[in-house]
Amino acid sequence: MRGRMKFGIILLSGPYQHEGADTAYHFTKAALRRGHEMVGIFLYTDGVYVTNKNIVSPGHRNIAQMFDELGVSTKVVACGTCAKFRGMKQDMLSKNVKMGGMGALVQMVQDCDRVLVFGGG
Amino acid sequence: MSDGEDDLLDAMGMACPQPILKLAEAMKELKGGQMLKVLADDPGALEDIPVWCKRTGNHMISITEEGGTITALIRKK
Repeated sequence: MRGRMKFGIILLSGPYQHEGADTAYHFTKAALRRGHEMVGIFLYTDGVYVTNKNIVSPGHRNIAQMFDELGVSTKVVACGTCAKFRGMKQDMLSKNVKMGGMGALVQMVQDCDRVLVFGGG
Repeated sequence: MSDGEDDLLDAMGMACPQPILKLAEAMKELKGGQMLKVLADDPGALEDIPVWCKRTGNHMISITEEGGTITALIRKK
């Protein structure tokens, strides 16, 4: 059995259309519960939409709040260029999510034992 | 405009990864100890420039953001 691992996640899909964002969220929670380290979550392409703090989902899970919650203990970075190309501005992002780019992505990948990609396809 | 820099990189209007690529090119032209000032408005630059400095061993003197303009001052190692 392997010991403590360092994981990173790249999320390519937006909220509600598919379950990539939910899977990324639940994987992160489970990994932390089992004592692994989450190096970071990089929101890429449509993945940046999960950090739109204006999401309102009465009676259903609020994915923006879920990722904001993850951002308290795990570094959550939204691709700045992807956000710009989708009309997402800094003040639309959840409080615990930062914008970043290639540098942040490279650093995360280098610091991880494994990088998982959710969404896309 | 001068903060004691030896060169200025105007990366305004460039999208990731261009600011970082231009930064790497500009730093090659400097000698050790010289300073580069970078202006950028790509929102990712605020996170990426410090990471680039850390990875390359160059000294990040300061980085600030005001009104959407990111200003970084870097000293070459």
